[in-house]
Amino acid sequence: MQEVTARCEGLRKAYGDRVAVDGVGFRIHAGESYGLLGPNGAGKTTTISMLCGLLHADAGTIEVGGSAMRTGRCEAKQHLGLVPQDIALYPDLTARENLRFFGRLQGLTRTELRTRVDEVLEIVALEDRAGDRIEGFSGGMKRRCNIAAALLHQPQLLVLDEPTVGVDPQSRASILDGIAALQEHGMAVLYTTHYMEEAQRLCDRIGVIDEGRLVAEGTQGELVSAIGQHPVVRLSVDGDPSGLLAALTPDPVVVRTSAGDGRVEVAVADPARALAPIIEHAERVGVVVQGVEVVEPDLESVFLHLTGKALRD
Amino acid sequence: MATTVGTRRSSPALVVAGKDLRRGLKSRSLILTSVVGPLVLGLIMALAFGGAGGPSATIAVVDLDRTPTSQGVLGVLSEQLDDGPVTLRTDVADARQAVADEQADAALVIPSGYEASLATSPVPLQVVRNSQRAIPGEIATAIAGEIASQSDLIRAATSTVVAIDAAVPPLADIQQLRPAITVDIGDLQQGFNAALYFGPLTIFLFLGLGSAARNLVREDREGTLARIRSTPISPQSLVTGTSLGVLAQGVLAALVVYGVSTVAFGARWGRPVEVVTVLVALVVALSGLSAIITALSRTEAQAEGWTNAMAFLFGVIGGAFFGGAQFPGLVGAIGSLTPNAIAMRALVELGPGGQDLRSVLPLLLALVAIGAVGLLIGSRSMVRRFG
Ligand SMILES: Nc1ncnc2c1ncn2[C@@H]1O[C@H](COP(=O)(O)OP(=O)(O)O)[C@@H](O)[C@H]1O
Ligand SMILES: [Mg+2]
Repeated sequence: MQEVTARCEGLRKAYGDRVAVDGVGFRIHAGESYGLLGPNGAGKTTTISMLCGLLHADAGTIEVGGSAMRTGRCEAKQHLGLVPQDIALYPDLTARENLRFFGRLQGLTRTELRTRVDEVLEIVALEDRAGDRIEGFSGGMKRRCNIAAALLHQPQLLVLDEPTVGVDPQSRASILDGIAALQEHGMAVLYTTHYMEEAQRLCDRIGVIDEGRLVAEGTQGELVSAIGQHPVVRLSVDGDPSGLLAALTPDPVVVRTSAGDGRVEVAVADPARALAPIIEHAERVGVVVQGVEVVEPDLESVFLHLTGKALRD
Repeated sequence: MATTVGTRRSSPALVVAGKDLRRGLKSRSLILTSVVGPLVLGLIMALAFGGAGGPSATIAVVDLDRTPTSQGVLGVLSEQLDDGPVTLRTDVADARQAVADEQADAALVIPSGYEASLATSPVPLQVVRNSQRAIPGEIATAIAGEIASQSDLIRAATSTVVAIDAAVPPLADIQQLRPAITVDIGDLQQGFNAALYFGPLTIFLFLGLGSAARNLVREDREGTLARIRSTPISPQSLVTGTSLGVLAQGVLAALVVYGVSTVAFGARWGRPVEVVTVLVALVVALSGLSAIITALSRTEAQAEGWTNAMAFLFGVIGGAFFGGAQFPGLVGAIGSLTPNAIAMRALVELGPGGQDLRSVLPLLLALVAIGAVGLLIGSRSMVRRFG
């Protein structure tokens, strides 16, 4: 049994008549990265606001680092580092002043601060801008410093709310690399995003959230197979593919076939094992294969299947 | 628990207060509003009206004694009070009426038998005051006290004359005694003549403190509050720290105005310990009012509007402008209850004549009470709102 770093059950929050979060629950294990994937307005920020003790939940229980989380209580918050969706730094203070302030609130001693501030500045590659005011930073630098402020006390759980929104591609890559590196150091991560690729890349497990409800949860593979989606082997071919289709259909590794203009698509359960037999069939019926491509079903299709809508609309 | 400085955890409230103070100093907004404002405004008025801007007063004098000595006192007063004119009145009823009609700010009565009393036990001059004209009343009282304290000198001199002549000394001899009854209006205002700076200070301080009191609302809007609240700081510490930061900025601004106007512009505020005590009490009161306004307002803009309106209203009716001029009637009475008017009264009363902090304790307590109630109500509402 793995150690649980954070756990929430039956979370619910309504703003007036509008239910923003409705019965959300999940667990995050030590060292695991958990992604909350959903479109804008799905309830991601509301969920983590309750998890971090910023917002009073209408119903449900929350535990972080073994302590119950509630607004106004301090114990559970020691184990938590929050990177808010919007930049939460003082623009008129320098990066170092910001980090020192938040580090002291997180309970670091002066001695600890002296070393930790330099360490986190190095993690986010801002060592040489430590003495500059935040207001002079680029968007990407602000985002990086925003993350650094949550790392000072080496929390058990790092919570990041859409940390790459509005960031240029280069900063985005460096942010994602940085988070991946933190995971390797054993920090549990809760990551919310509406970018499918980020969830796929960073998260061990993913909860798909839509209209305040968690509609599915699991590893990417589990989610994809749960909705009956299969990887597709896509062949570019010369000549008439109908003979090939006829040959493939009875093969047990093949789930489904279709053909188009110089193209054959073969849905399979396991592309690694299906590839060789497919090429053999083609050779046998005299179809020349120009190229092969394996297309994995992604979370986009999972989301489409579960909610009937695209992730980004 | 370790006790050396390097390993000690700082009190979260102090950490928050320190951050707010640092930001206040960096942004210079509070410094600009609360320090430069009053100094510049005060200096302009000082240049326009001359002097460091003590409160001026029109004092009516009634001479019921009609002796050479009382005439001598009258002469001295006319000479010394030439910037605050002395008007002569024929009897006490006339003087009372003049004060009631506000033709005069206060009246001094030289009682009949004054000269005769100097030989034995001098009777003091009487003061007719208007309760709504606190400052001129204080000045008149101070003059009466000054003359009484010099009556011993007058008596000694008079006794000598009496011993030689065995008769009432002629006017000429009394004239020679005049150095003994020098009444210097400047000396009387030793404790306070900085109204030109103090008045604007109270208004600008109110504006600055109001802005500082909105810090938490602003941090909520800007997002830093979310991060603060995700750390292990209790809502009470957060709100206490914010209030401490507000107070620290206010005290600092007031001290700078006090220091600069004293050193650079020659304003006289009084004895340092007493002045600082009054200024701190004033900052506490204004912070409390700002805290209540912030708590009762739904939006930041609303809070700002109310603070600005209240600051200027209090300034006008509480006599923050024109060297402490107060309104007549009900408006003046209400104005005298404003923190700025209470603090000004305390500073004036702390002048010469032996008044010490104990004598203005009720005024100081009133200021602290306004502040304490305000900060308490404001804090509770802030804890509820941001806890
Ligand atoms: N303070 C609020 N008052 C009213 N409605 C809100 C508030 N915050 C969020 N909502 C609503 O709750 C829903 C979920 O919002 P949010 O949690 O911010 O979504 P996400 O972070 O996934 O984009 C949205 O419909 C949003 O409009
Ligand atoms: Mg959000």
